[in-house]
Amino acid sequence: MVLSAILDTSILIAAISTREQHHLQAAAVLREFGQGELTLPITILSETMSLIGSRHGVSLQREVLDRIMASGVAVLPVGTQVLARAREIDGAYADAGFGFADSTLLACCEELRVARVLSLDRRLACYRPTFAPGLEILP
Amino acid sequence: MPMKKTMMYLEEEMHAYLAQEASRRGISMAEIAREAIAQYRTQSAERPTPGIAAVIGLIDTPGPPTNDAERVDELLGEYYAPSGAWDREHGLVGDS
Repeated sequence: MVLSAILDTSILIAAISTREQHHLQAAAVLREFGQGELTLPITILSETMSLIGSRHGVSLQREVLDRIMASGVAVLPVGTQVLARAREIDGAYADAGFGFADSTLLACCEELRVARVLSLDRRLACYRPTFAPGLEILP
Repeated sequence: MPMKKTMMYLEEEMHAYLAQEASRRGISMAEIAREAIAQYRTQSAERPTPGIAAVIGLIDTPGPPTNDAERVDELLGEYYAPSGAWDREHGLVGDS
């Protein structure tokens, strides 16, 4: 069975660093997905790069980017339509406090009609997609 | 097999090697180029794409456990805060 999922910053950060509390869980869930099954919104990549750069420096940031680019993960551009959808989500779920990056991730779920997100952020589960009963947040 | 003519520029040293190798083997330089391209294509096809698992454990530094993954917004907020680390690293405020 082909799985599809969208990657969040939290799962990447946890998988990349062995010191992270949820490293093993994050690593295990990433290993469940094969080539062509994962999508990374460009906004989430940007957030991930920013965090790694700020915490670990530009050298590791470059190494992570190289590996992501070589991984076969689809990096999804975020155009004005997705941004408009993200703004709607951000407004409709203001109490959840998703913020810009998470709102674009949820808009990408709508764009691709993918209801599975790899994330440690349980807040995302409160989002109700238009195309599915709910989001599946793994692990 | 039908062929298509093309032209390419080679560094002088690479050109000299190609000419020498062609002479040694008694074949054309183009034949060696075709062999090399075919070999490259085979190797590329056999080389597995590493997949996202290639990022796992990339940062493996000793130290206490961290929880950055669940503090992304907070950590970036601190980093980019006025007079924060970003400002200091870019000379926008003096070290204090």
